[in-house]
Amino acid sequence: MQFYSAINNLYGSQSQYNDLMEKLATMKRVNRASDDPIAAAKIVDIRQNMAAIEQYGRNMDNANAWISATETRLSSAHDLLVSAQEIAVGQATATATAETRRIASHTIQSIIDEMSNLANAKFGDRHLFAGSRNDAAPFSKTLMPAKIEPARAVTGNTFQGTVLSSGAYTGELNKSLVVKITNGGALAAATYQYSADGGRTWNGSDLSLAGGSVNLGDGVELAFDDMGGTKAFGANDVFYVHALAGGYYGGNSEDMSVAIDRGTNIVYNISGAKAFTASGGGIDIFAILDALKTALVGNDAQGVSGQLDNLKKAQTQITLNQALCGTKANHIEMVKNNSAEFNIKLTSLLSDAQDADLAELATRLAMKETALHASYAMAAKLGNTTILNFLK
Amino acid sequence: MSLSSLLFLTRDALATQQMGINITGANIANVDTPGYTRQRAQIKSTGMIDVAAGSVQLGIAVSRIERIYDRYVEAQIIDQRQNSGYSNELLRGLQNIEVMLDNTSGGGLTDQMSKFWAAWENLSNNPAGLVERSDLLASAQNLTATINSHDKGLNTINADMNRNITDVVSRINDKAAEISQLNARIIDAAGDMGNNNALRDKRLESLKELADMVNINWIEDPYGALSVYLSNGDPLVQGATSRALRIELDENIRSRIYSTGSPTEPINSSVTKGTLGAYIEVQSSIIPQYIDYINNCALSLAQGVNELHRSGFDLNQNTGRDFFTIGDMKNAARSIAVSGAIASNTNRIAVSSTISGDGDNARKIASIQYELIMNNRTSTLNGYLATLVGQIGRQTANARTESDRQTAVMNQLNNQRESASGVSIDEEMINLIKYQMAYTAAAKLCVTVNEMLDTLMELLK
Repeated sequence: MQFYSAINNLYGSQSQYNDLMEKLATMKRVNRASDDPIAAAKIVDIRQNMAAIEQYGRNMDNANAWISATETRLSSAHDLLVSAQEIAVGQATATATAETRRIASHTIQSIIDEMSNLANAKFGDRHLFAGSRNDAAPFSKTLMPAKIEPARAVTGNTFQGTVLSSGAYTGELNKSLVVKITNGGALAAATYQYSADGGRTWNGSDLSLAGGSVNLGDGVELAFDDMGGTKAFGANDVFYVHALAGGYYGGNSEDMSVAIDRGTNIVYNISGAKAFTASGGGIDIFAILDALKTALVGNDAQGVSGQLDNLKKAQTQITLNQALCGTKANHIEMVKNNSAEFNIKLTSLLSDAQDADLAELATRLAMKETALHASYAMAAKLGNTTILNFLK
Repeated sequence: MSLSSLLFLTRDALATQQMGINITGANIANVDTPGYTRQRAQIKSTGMIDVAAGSVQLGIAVSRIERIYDRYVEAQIIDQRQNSGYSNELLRGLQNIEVMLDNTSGGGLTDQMSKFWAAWENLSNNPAGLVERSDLLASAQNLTATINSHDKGLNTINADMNRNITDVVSRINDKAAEISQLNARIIDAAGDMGNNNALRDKRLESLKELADMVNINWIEDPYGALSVYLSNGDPLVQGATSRALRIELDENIRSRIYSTGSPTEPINSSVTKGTLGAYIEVQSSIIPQYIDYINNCALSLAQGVNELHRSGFDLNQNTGRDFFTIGDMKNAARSIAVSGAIASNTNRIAVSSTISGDGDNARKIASIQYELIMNNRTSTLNGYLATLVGQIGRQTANARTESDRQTAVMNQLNNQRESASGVSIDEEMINLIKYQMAYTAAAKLCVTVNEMLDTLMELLK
């Protein structure tokens, strides 16, 4: 019986000792969920939060890089406008001659080229000022009339018939109009929905394709031909057409946003339309540069001086957008600081939840060691406390 | 009283003391034998005669060999072994599950989930990026593989439980057969005390081992036969016959146990103790509970991601495709996978909300992690996983406390049993000395009587 309880005591002391050793070795109080179930759930939660913060950090770095690239381009655009204004001021005076104006018009042309390069600048694979449309450079150097591009069928569609666009675009903004087939089949049976914002939102109810022609509003029409019913539609077939309002801009006014905190998204792009065209209630920079060039070529002093005010306005417009970049960068910086602070708090919470208190552990280990030694000593002594030792 | 009867007396005395030494020897030899019950010779005097001065005892004999045995403690031990058998095995089963579901040290399901969401965010930053796309595919495949492996792990534990149940049921049947055979021999050997005690020790040990495995009731009839019943009253052992349990697997690959008393209706629900009770508990309520958890996770994840993914446009501007496929809605965790079309071509990941190739849909999908899609819209996916970890932790911690407690009670009872029935070397050594002295004294008596007879013979010369 003595041996039995000695063995039990030894076993108990040893397993507690091993437990402490494990905690010391891992430096963690919670090595498995059952060590402290509440802390374990908390640890899982905190770790996930920390992973999210790390990701937000990456998102913000990415947005910051985009914003600073945008800012650099805008600042160069501003410089170009300043040089254009200097030229305009010089050529608006009576001392300027047809010859100097002709030479100046070449300089303005190269400013227009440079401005176009800036406005079409890319960051990685994407155009900085194109909105979300990325398949073509957003700005053209010459004035484009309003137009409806050819309708396109997406690769991977079931439908192998033809689709044609027609009509005259009456909209004010560039749009991507999308038709999505909701129920497949022949022309007579198929239904569709359409979107005027590139597919983000839909008209909400299925419409019949029976007539073969679809009116998408603003004068845009699509005509489908299923070759007499031989080419069927499949569900989720997508057709789209870009409709461009007149002007120099071919991109759209879509925002591009990224999550920088739980539930907080920030728009990190500057709208090309607002920075360079009149659509934001401002002035069309390419139009005034063009007008300036035309006036210089035509040796029209009045025309040149007429653009001075507009050039001033254009600079202000660019400066405003530069300021907008600054605001965005500030916002990101603020969130970044907050999340750094939050991360520190989380780290300390995580440490509270899972890390071992070294001093306490060491003390308890020393205590257990003593107890274990005592158990060993007692077990060793047990063999001596029998009458056998005294029967000689 | 004659001298020759005195000689007979010394013969009896020598034989009795020798018997005492024999029994002491048996006790000492069995000092380590588990389940051995200390024995003691009951010595009584015989052949009392009346003389003028009063009555004199003339003889000595071993009347019976006693087992020093505390009936109450033994009964408690049998009860307690049912409890500790249950709680120890339950703890072991839960620890297996805990190791698998544990997320506290990273690398687990929640980490894979975080990486999956992060991959969507990265893709929203660079919607056309090939690297980001293949990174998302890899992290999604890791995630589904982890979910699959959780389901597989739980099913492996289920299969282990089936194996354990088969083992333990065949051991129950063995022990029941052993007890019934011992019953027969105990009734046969009713007269042979030493042998009978050994058989009873053996039967008690078998009964205890049986109690480790399943909850039982038992009763000993006046002839010494022990009958054992399951908690629902079905007999396992009746006198010299034993009744075997039988196992079948049901459609969920869980074991069903039938007794001869209940050949068509499984008796699983009445087995609540012993190792068998623990295996049944793990198999029928704990594993399904965690499989449900994982299934819910897989299902909500797939539904949430698919719904948004269907509304987005991929790099080819196609739309309406699912990201995850679930082959079997009832076993979502087992069958969740990244859609084959996407796995074979990452251009088909629908990152954009519009046909123009933006990253908005990826951002929306990444924010599913914050949506309350679990548990009747009260919890996020991650919160749900944290609850899961907390739950298995709590269950395991409770089982450990319970197992520690049962072990402590068991130790206490074993100590009590040892103090009543265990062999104490000190006591046996003192008995040995006592019997040795008595033997020497009886031998001395014999010599003295012999000398007296010699003296008497001399007188006759």
